[in-house]
Amino acid sequence: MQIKKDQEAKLGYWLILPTVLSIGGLIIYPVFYNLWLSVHDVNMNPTMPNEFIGLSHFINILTDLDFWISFRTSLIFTSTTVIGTTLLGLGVALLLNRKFPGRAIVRGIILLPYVTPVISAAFGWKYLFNPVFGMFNYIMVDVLSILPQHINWIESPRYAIFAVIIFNIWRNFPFAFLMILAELQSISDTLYEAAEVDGATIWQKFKYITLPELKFVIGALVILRTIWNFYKFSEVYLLSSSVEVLPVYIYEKAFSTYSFGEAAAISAILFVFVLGFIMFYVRKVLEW
Amino acid sequence: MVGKESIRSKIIFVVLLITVLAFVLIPFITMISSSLKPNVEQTQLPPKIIPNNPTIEHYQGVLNPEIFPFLIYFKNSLIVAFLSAGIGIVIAIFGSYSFARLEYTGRGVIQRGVLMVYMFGGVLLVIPLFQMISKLGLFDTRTSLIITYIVQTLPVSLYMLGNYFRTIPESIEEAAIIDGCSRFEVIYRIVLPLSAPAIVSVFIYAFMIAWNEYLFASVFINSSSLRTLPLGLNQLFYTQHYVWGRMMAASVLTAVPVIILFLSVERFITGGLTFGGVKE
Amino acid sequence: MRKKALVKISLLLVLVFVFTATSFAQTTVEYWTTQTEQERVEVINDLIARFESQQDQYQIELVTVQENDIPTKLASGMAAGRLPQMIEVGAENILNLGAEGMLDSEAVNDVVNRIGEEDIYDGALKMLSNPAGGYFGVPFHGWVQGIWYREDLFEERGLEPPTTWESIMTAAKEFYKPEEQQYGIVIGTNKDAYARQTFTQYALSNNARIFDEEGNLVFNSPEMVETLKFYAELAETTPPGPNGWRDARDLYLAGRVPMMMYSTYIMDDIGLQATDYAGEQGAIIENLVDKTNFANTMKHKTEAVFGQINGLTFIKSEDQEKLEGAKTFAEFLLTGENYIDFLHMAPGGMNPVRPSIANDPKYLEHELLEVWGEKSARIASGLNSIGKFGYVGGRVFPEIGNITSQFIVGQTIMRMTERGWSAERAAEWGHNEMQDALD
Repeated sequence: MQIKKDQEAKLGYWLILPTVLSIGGLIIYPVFYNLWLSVHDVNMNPTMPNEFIGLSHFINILTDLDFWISFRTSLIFTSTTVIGTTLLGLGVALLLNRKFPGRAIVRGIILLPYVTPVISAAFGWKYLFNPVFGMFNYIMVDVLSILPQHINWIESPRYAIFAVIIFNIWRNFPFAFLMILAELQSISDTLYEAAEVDGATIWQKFKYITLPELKFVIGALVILRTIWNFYKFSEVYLLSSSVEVLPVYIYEKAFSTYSFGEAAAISAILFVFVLGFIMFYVRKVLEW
Repeated sequence: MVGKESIRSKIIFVVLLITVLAFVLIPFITMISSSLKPNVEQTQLPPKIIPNNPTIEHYQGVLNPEIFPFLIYFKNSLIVAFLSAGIGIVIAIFGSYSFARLEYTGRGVIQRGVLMVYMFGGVLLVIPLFQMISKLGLFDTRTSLIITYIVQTLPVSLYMLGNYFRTIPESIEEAAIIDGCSRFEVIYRIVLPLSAPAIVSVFIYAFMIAWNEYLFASVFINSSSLRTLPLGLNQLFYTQHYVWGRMMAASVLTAVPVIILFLSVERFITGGLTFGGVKE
Repeated sequence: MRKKALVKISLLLVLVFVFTATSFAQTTVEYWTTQTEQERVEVINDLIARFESQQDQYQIELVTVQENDIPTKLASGMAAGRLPQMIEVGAENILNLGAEGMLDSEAVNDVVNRIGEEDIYDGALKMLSNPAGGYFGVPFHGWVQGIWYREDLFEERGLEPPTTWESIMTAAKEFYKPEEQQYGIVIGTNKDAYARQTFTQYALSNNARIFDEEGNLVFNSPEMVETLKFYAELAETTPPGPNGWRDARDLYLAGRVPMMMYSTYIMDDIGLQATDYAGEQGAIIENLVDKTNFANTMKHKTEAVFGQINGLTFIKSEDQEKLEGAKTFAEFLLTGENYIDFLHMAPGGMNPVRPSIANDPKYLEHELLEVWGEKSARIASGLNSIGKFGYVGGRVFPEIGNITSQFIVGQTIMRMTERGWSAERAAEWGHNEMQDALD
């Protein structure tokens, strides 16, 4: 029997080996390599050696106003989209948590934004937001008169952030919707029936039954969406490159001005910040 | 439930439902309608949803290799997505079987390590990976994308498949082993056929992620002949004679394959999707 | 298990073999072009096929790169150890690369001599000259910028042609009706090359420069402040938000603006309808080509013409064989029928830099050039008198490349149009940014 167990274990190692190798080589190693790059002056020419410069990249970054502006943009973008996607997902899940004809189709349609390639969706929105011919301006200004004049939602440094936030919420709320809906459907009807016998209002039922049941799923959604949106690149960059969230800032530092070391250092700072957020959130908010 | 509802709350429900659907669908409707409008109507005011004179000229333009190499980009996307999802799923089948069924020291650590990957978004890896890819001489090759995508989708695949494998009764496998099957035969003859729907879904999921990816592709690929669809489309937007209609037709053609794939396995993915089962 | 490993290793070996076997072919020369449109790429591919059929020593590998991406792609190519041998790109980028010491000036001089210095416009050569003598790039083709305007509407309202600051401003204000989505003019107001290009013409016509004759930075001069002030006022009549060339093209063709600044590349868009070309149609206004006129000279304190020379240049390389291939191909492209076929990919937009070709009947014989009639000859004539920020009193300042690559001019304009800064403050800011870029 012992031999059998050894064999099983051996096979286990063999089967997991490709996974360990690929994740180790292409995720774990690069993360450490990134740290190494962040304390070096990285030469553009790969045959030339890189020079060790200690923490000076970090000092440069932390004293650079552009970094802090970008950091602030990231905070605004992430916080609004996390709240937006979660609330909208919750609302739509509550709305659809009932039986009606065509529910399966509606659910499939709502998931479309989440699976459509970013590039396609971004172009659709660009056209929608066009300053002169776009439907969005036409409806907001000419039909509803909510806004006084047409706005260049994509290019304007002041307004592009709104376009990016709306686009991100549109694209990602279906995920929150799906998770919350699954959780809602697992809440037993008897709980509500008991509450109804006690004469509870809709609001009371929501507050005392639904919400506590959803606490875990919403907590997890918030943390995942926060991590993902802090790292979000394509959804921002492909809609409007004038919104400089940190990932866009890193990309431009690395691949436009070729400060690889500095860009690596910004990545490291971003990672530490996200890690800190996760630890704080898990301990203080989720109380795990 | 429906019977008890008052007319008023029914109306509110329908209005809200239509609002949500409108929010979700308007960009798609814009895209499709604009892809069918002749150029004269693209920039007309006020904007209209239904084209006056619908035309398929933009689709013809996009598919004409002398105007836009859509088919080359399509082929590249297909190769990269297919190979990375295919190789990824083989690695994931082995790995998740190992997690689900075999016992050895260190398994828990490895499993947690794989989940850690969630904390490293693509943008954190793009700089070191670019340096590594360059040094390995893989810059501007499809291989660079394939290996990157395999690893990006691996944690998801491992998680989803592992969960599925655990639902297969262990007794079936034990019976086979007593009959003299090796573990490989068990995987090949029993586990794989039983989990075919899960494997197909995971494959499609990985395929979609590779199909949509822009960041790594934009950094690792230079040659026009190797560009994937997201790169090619983005470039089309910056050429002088781009036309909105052509842009939209290309966008529709890029989205259609993944949407069809998704709808074909939607029931399964959304059923089996749990938090470990996604990564962006 | 062992069997599996063997299979794997042999598979790997086969792969390695396949990859290495392909590298024993002819010498491959990598050529980067900024012509990204597929129709143009097809023309270049045809020329490459012609070149390869005429000799069998060299193969050309074509890579298309968007103009704004050139610095990025070059840097990533360098980091990855894969640089092209030859690039076709605008003069500023060439000067920038030259100043960085990346170019093989000797190879460039060789090609210029093989073609014959006397058969290239002086104006074009000047744009690419190396301050240390010789050239940084071989002039290839050029465009001229100016204000394209609706002559019919101007005449209807009795307006002067937009050739002076006053007439431009008057017309722009006259036509500006934002509530009807009608705007006065489109000029560049974004962080891009287009904004620098349109702004330059106003600055030069006001004698405002970035460098003075000693090479000192003078972006905060009174003339520059005055130009910025005028430009910001004019920008009030533009469509919403920062505008780029795409807005200029879309809105003019759709009849939403009566004036816009653009290069000669717009000629095919405006003229297409008048030819019997069956493909896409550019303009939405009927007979736009007859209603359009072009003001390429701007008068204020002085007359200014602005345009661009694109050149071919060679990246320094250890591999002499590749370099020789690139030189041979460059000469091929600039010669006779090859050259004419190349220029005809964007008729009117691309103008020849060789007088012998400019007057060649074969070059002039093109449907689109004929639609424009005598206007087309006048339009191209501006090419020899282009003025630019990087050239003062016969001297070249390659440092301009550092400034253009960071789009500081566009950013300065945006600070006025988007944030409401005064011209003085914006000029001071731009001046400091430029100083940083030069250090």
